Amino acid sequence: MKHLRHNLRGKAGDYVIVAVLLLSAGLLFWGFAGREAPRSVEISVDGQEIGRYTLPAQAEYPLADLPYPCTLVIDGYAVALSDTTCPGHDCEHGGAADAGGESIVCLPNRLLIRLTGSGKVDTVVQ
Amino acid sequence: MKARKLSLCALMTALALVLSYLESLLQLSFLIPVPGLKLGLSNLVTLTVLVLYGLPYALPVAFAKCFLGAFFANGPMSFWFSFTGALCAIFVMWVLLRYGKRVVSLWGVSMAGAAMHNLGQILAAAVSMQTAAVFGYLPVLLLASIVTGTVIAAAAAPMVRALSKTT
Repeated sequence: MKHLRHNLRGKAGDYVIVAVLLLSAGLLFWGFAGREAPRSVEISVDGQEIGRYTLPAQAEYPLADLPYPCTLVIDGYAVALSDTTCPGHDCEHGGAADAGGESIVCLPNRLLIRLTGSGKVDTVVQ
Repeated sequence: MKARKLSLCALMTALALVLSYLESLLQLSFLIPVPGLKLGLSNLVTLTVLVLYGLPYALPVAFAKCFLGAFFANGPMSFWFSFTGALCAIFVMWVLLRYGKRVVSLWGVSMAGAAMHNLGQILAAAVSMQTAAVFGYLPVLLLASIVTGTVIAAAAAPMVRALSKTT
Protein backbone atom coordinates (compact mmCIF):
# COMPACT_ATOMS: atom_id res chain seq x y z
CA MET A 1 0.00 0.00 0.00
CA LYS A 2 2.87 2.33 0.82
CA HIS A 3 4.35 1.67 -2.61
CA LEU A 4 0.98 2.36 -4.22
CA ARG A 5 0.48 5.62 -2.31
CA HIS A 6 3.99 6.73 -3.19
CA ASN A 7 3.41 6.18 -6.90
CA LEU A 8 -0.16 7.39 -7.09
CA ARG A 9 -0.29 10.74 -5.35
CA GLY A 10 -3.37 12.10 -7.03
CA LYS A 11 -3.78 15.65 -8.27
CA ALA A 12 -7.13 17.43 -8.64
CA GLY A 13 -7.40 16.48 -12.33
CA ASP A 14 -7.08 12.77 -11.52
CA TYR A 15 -10.22 12.89 -9.39
CA VAL A 16 -12.01 14.82 -12.14
CA ILE A 17 -11.11 11.98 -14.55
CA VAL A 18 -12.44 9.37 -12.09
CA ALA A 19 -15.66 11.40 -11.72
CA VAL A 20 -16.07 11.78 -15.50
CA LEU A 21 -15.56 8.03 -16.00
CA LEU A 22 -18.06 7.12 -13.26
CA LEU A 23 -20.61 9.62 -14.55
CA SER A 24 -20.37 8.56 -18.20
CA ALA A 25 -20.52 4.86 -17.22
CA GLY A 26 -23.65 5.58 -15.17
CA LEU A 27 -25.34 7.60 -17.91
CA LEU A 28 -24.51 5.02 -20.60
CA PHE A 29 -25.72 2.20 -18.35
CA TRP A 30 -28.97 4.09 -17.80
CA GLY A 31 -29.31 4.58 -21.56
CA PHE A 32 -28.64 0.99 -22.56
CA ALA A 33 -30.24 -0.93 -19.69
CA GLY A 34 -33.42 -2.63 -20.80
CA ARG A 35 -36.12 -2.84 -18.20
CA GLU A 36 -38.83 -4.51 -20.26
CA ALA A 37 -39.20 -8.03 -21.59
CA PRO A 38 -38.30 -8.35 -25.28
CA ARG A 39 -40.75 -9.07 -28.10
CA SER A 40 -38.37 -10.75 -30.53
CA VAL A 41 -34.77 -11.77 -31.08
CA GLU A 42 -32.97 -10.63 -34.22
CA ILE A 43 -29.87 -12.41 -35.50
CA SER A 44 -27.53 -10.66 -37.92
CA VAL A 45 -24.13 -11.39 -39.40
CA ASP A 46 -22.05 -8.61 -40.97
CA GLY A 47 -25.01 -6.27 -40.57
CA GLN A 48 -27.31 -8.59 -42.59
CA GLU A 49 -30.31 -10.06 -40.76
CA ILE A 50 -30.30 -13.87 -41.03
CA GLY A 51 -33.17 -14.69 -38.70
CA ARG A 52 -35.77 -13.35 -36.29
CA TYR A 53 -37.81 -15.28 -33.72
CA THR A 54 -40.77 -14.20 -31.60
CA LEU A 55 -40.43 -14.40 -27.82
CA PRO A 56 -41.18 -16.06 -25.47
CA ALA A 57 -40.07 -19.41 -26.90
CA GLN A 58 -38.28 -22.61 -26.01
CA ALA A 59 -35.83 -23.54 -28.77
CA GLU A 60 -32.24 -24.20 -29.82
CA TYR A 61 -30.99 -23.01 -33.20
CA PRO A 62 -27.58 -24.21 -34.44
CA LEU A 63 -25.66 -21.43 -36.24
CA ALA A 64 -23.50 -23.81 -38.25
CA ASP A 65 -22.52 -21.58 -41.21
CA LEU A 66 -20.45 -19.16 -39.14
CA PRO A 67 -16.62 -19.20 -39.06
CA TYR A 68 -16.94 -20.42 -35.44
CA PRO A 69 -20.21 -22.41 -35.24
CA CYS A 70 -22.32 -22.06 -32.09
CA THR A 71 -25.87 -22.59 -30.88
CA LEU A 72 -28.51 -19.99 -30.04
CA VAL A 73 -30.52 -21.08 -27.01
CA ILE A 74 -33.88 -19.43 -26.32
CA ASP A 75 -35.43 -20.09 -22.92
CA GLY A 76 -38.58 -18.02 -22.46
CA TYR A 77 -37.48 -14.38 -22.74
CA ALA A 78 -33.81 -15.25 -22.14
CA VAL A 79 -31.45 -15.71 -25.09
CA ALA A 80 -27.89 -17.05 -24.88
CA LEU A 81 -25.15 -18.55 -27.05
CA SER A 82 -23.73 -21.97 -26.20
CA ASP A 83 -21.37 -24.59 -27.67
CA THR A 84 -19.17 -21.77 -29.00
CA THR A 85 -16.10 -22.90 -30.92
CA CYS A 86 -14.14 -19.63 -30.97
CA PRO A 87 -10.95 -19.29 -28.87
CA GLY A 88 -12.30 -16.68 -26.41
CA HIS A 89 -15.85 -17.93 -25.55
CA ASP A 90 -16.58 -14.36 -24.38
CA CYS A 91 -20.19 -14.34 -25.55
CA GLU A 92 -20.85 -17.67 -23.79
CA HIS A 93 -19.35 -16.40 -20.53
CA GLY A 94 -21.49 -13.29 -20.89
CA GLY A 95 -24.59 -15.34 -20.06
CA ALA A 96 -28.13 -14.70 -21.21
CA ALA A 97 -29.71 -11.46 -22.40
CA ASP A 98 -33.32 -11.07 -21.33
CA ALA A 99 -34.37 -7.43 -21.70
CA GLY A 100 -35.48 -5.35 -24.68
CA GLY A 101 -32.52 -3.47 -26.20
CA GLU A 102 -29.93 -5.89 -24.77
CA SER A 103 -27.60 -7.67 -27.16
CA ILE A 104 -24.94 -10.35 -27.37
CA VAL A 105 -22.01 -9.55 -29.62
CA CYS A 106 -19.62 -12.14 -31.05
CA LEU A 107 -16.74 -10.31 -32.71
CA PRO A 108 -14.96 -13.36 -34.23
CA ASN A 109 -18.18 -14.31 -36.05
CA ARG A 110 -19.28 -10.68 -36.60
CA LEU A 111 -22.54 -11.94 -35.12
CA LEU A 112 -25.07 -9.74 -33.36
CA ILE A 113 -27.99 -11.13 -31.35
CA ARG A 114 -30.32 -8.28 -30.47
CA LEU A 115 -33.46 -8.36 -28.35
CA THR A 116 -35.93 -5.93 -29.83
CA GLY A 117 -39.07 -4.21 -28.68
CA SER A 118 -40.89 -4.75 -25.45
CA GLY A 119 -43.63 -7.31 -25.13
CA LYS A 120 -44.66 -6.75 -21.55
CA VAL A 121 -43.32 -4.98 -18.53
CA ASP A 122 -41.01 -7.30 -16.62
CA THR A 123 -41.26 -7.78 -12.89
CA VAL A 124 -40.80 -4.48 -11.11
CA VAL A 125 -38.67 -4.84 -8.01
CA GLN A 126 -38.96 -2.07 -5.42
CA MET B 1 21.75 8.41 -27.88
CA LYS B 2 19.33 7.62 -30.67
CA ALA B 3 20.56 4.01 -30.87
CA ARG B 4 20.00 3.69 -27.13
CA LYS B 5 16.42 4.95 -27.48
CA LEU B 6 15.76 2.65 -30.43
CA SER B 7 17.06 -0.42 -28.66
CA LEU B 8 15.02 0.42 -25.57
CA CYS B 9 11.90 0.82 -27.76
CA ALA B 10 12.59 -2.62 -29.29
CA LEU B 11 12.90 -4.08 -25.79
CA MET B 12 9.67 -2.34 -24.81
CA THR B 13 7.86 -3.78 -27.85
CA ALA B 14 9.01 -7.25 -26.85
CA LEU B 15 7.81 -6.58 -23.29
CA ALA B 16 4.41 -5.46 -24.63
CA LEU B 17 4.07 -8.71 -26.61
CA VAL B 18 4.92 -10.80 -23.56
CA LEU B 19 2.44 -8.83 -21.44
CA SER B 20 -0.37 -9.26 -23.96
CA TYR B 21 0.39 -12.99 -24.11
CA LEU B 22 0.26 -13.24 -20.30
CA GLU B 23 -2.97 -11.28 -20.39
CA SER B 24 -4.53 -13.75 -22.82
CA LEU B 25 -3.88 -16.50 -20.25
CA LEU B 26 -5.81 -14.60 -17.58
CA GLN B 27 -9.24 -15.11 -19.20
CA LEU B 28 -10.77 -12.10 -17.51
CA SER B 29 -14.10 -12.84 -19.17
CA PHE B 30 -14.86 -15.31 -16.37
CA LEU B 31 -14.84 -12.43 -13.91
CA ILE B 32 -16.30 -9.71 -16.11
CA PRO B 33 -18.17 -11.17 -19.07
CA VAL B 34 -17.50 -8.47 -21.62
CA PRO B 35 -16.07 -9.37 -25.01
CA GLY B 36 -12.71 -7.74 -25.57
CA LEU B 37 -12.17 -6.70 -21.98
CA LYS B 38 -8.49 -6.97 -21.21
CA LEU B 39 -6.40 -5.46 -18.49
CA GLY B 40 -4.49 -3.69 -21.25
CA LEU B 41 -1.18 -4.46 -19.57
CA SER B 42 0.70 -3.62 -22.74
CA ASN B 43 -0.52 -0.02 -22.30
CA LEU B 44 2.14 0.07 -19.61
CA VAL B 45 4.74 0.05 -22.36
CA THR B 46 2.98 2.72 -24.45
CA LEU B 47 2.63 5.00 -21.42
CA THR B 48 6.25 4.51 -20.34
CA VAL B 49 7.65 5.21 -23.83
CA LEU B 50 5.35 8.23 -24.21
CA VAL B 51 6.52 9.74 -20.91
CA LEU B 52 10.21 9.04 -21.58
CA TYR B 53 10.61 9.72 -25.31
CA GLY B 54 7.38 11.35 -26.53
CA LEU B 55 5.03 10.78 -29.42
CA PRO B 56 7.57 10.01 -32.21
CA TYR B 57 8.66 6.89 -30.33
CA ALA B 58 5.36 5.87 -28.70
CA LEU B 59 3.46 5.66 -32.01
CA PRO B 60 5.82 3.18 -33.76
CA VAL B 61 6.03 1.07 -30.57
CA ALA B 62 2.21 0.92 -30.40
CA PHE B 63 2.01 0.04 -34.11
CA ALA B 64 4.63 -2.71 -33.77
CA LYS B 65 2.91 -4.08 -30.66
CA CYS B 66 -0.50 -4.28 -32.39
CA PHE B 67 0.89 -5.58 -35.69
CA LEU B 68 3.08 -8.29 -34.16
CA GLY B 69 0.34 -9.25 -31.68
CA ALA B 70 -2.12 -9.71 -34.55
CA PHE B 71 0.48 -11.52 -36.68
CA PHE B 72 1.58 -14.01 -34.03
CA ALA B 73 -1.54 -14.61 -31.98
CA ASN B 74 -4.79 -12.74 -32.42
CA GLY B 75 -5.48 -12.56 -36.18
CA PRO B 76 -5.88 -9.62 -38.60
CA MET B 77 -9.23 -8.39 -37.21
CA SER B 78 -7.66 -7.77 -33.81
CA PHE B 79 -5.12 -5.39 -35.40
CA TRP B 80 -7.80 -2.82 -36.24
CA PHE B 81 -9.44 -3.07 -32.82
CA SER B 82 -6.21 -2.82 -30.87
CA PHE B 83 -4.58 -0.18 -33.10
CA THR B 84 -7.67 2.08 -33.05
CA GLY B 85 -7.71 1.69 -29.26
CA ALA B 86 -3.99 2.37 -28.99
CA LEU B 87 -4.21 5.49 -31.20
CA CYS B 88 -7.05 6.96 -29.11
CA ALA B 89 -5.20 6.15 -25.88
CA ILE B 90 -1.89 7.65 -27.08
CA PHE B 91 -3.55 10.82 -28.35
CA VAL B 92 -5.36 11.52 -25.06
CA MET B 93 -2.35 10.57 -22.91
CA TRP B 94 -0.11 12.83 -25.03
CA VAL B 95 -2.51 15.79 -24.69
CA LEU B 96 -2.72 15.29 -20.90
CA LEU B 97 1.06 14.91 -20.52
CA ARG B 98 1.75 17.97 -22.68
CA TYR B 99 -0.91 20.39 -21.49
CA GLY B 100 -2.24 19.00 -18.21
CA LYS B 101 0.88 18.14 -16.22
CA ARG B 102 0.07 20.68 -13.51
CA VAL B 103 -3.34 19.23 -12.71
CA VAL B 104 -3.09 15.56 -13.77
CA SER B 105 -0.59 12.97 -12.48
CA LEU B 106 0.55 9.76 -14.15
CA TRP B 107 -2.43 8.06 -12.47
CA GLY B 108 -4.96 10.27 -14.26
CA VAL B 109 -3.08 9.99 -17.56
CA SER B 110 -3.13 6.21 -17.25
CA MET B 111 -6.86 6.03 -16.42
CA ALA B 112 -7.75 8.36 -19.28
CA GLY B 113 -5.57 6.25 -21.60
CA ALA B 114 -7.23 3.01 -20.50
CA ALA B 115 -10.70 4.52 -20.99
CA MET B 116 -9.84 5.85 -24.45
CA HIS B 117 -8.29 2.51 -25.38
CA ASN B 118 -11.60 0.82 -24.59
CA LEU B 119 -13.60 3.53 -26.36
CA GLY B 120 -11.43 3.16 -29.47
CA GLN B 121 -11.88 -0.60 -29.52
CA ILE B 122 -15.66 -0.23 -29.16
CA LEU B 123 -15.69 2.38 -31.97
CA ALA B 124 -13.76 0.00 -34.24
CA ALA B 125 -16.16 -2.83 -33.32
CA ALA B 126 -19.19 -0.58 -34.00
CA VAL B 127 -17.85 0.33 -37.46
CA SER B 128 -16.87 -3.27 -38.23
CA MET B 129 -20.20 -4.76 -37.07
CA GLN B 130 -22.24 -1.77 -38.36
CA THR B 131 -24.17 -1.48 -35.12
CA ALA B 132 -24.29 0.82 -32.11
CA ALA B 133 -25.30 -2.14 -29.91
CA VAL B 134 -21.65 -2.74 -28.95
CA PHE B 135 -21.71 0.57 -27.02
CA GLY B 136 -23.81 -1.33 -24.46
CA TYR B 137 -20.51 -2.79 -23.20
CA LEU B 138 -18.99 0.63 -22.67
CA PRO B 139 -20.25 1.30 -19.08
CA VAL B 140 -18.49 -1.81 -17.70
CA LEU B 141 -15.38 -1.07 -19.78
CA LEU B 142 -15.24 2.54 -18.51
CA LEU B 143 -15.53 1.36 -14.90
CA ALA B 144 -12.86 -1.28 -15.54
CA SER B 145 -10.54 1.38 -16.96
CA ILE B 146 -10.39 3.07 -13.51
CA VAL B 147 -8.96 -0.20 -12.13
CA THR B 148 -6.68 -1.02 -15.08
CA GLY B 149 -5.48 2.59 -15.29
CA THR B 150 -4.56 2.47 -11.59
CA VAL B 151 -2.70 -0.84 -11.92
CA ILE B 152 -0.78 0.40 -14.98
CA ALA B 153 0.13 3.72 -13.36
CA ALA B 154 1.40 1.91 -10.25
CA ALA B 155 3.66 -0.21 -12.48
CA ALA B 156 4.68 2.59 -14.86
CA ALA B 157 5.77 5.12 -12.20
CA PRO B 158 8.78 3.12 -10.89
CA MET B 159 9.66 2.07 -14.47
CA VAL B 160 9.72 5.69 -15.65
CA ARG B 161 11.79 6.72 -12.62
CA ALA B 162 14.35 3.95 -13.14
CA LEU B 163 14.65 4.38 -16.91
CA SER B 164 14.86 8.18 -16.83
CA LYS B 165 18.03 7.82 -14.72
CA THR B 166 19.71 5.61 -17.29
CA THR B 167 18.78 7.52 -20.46
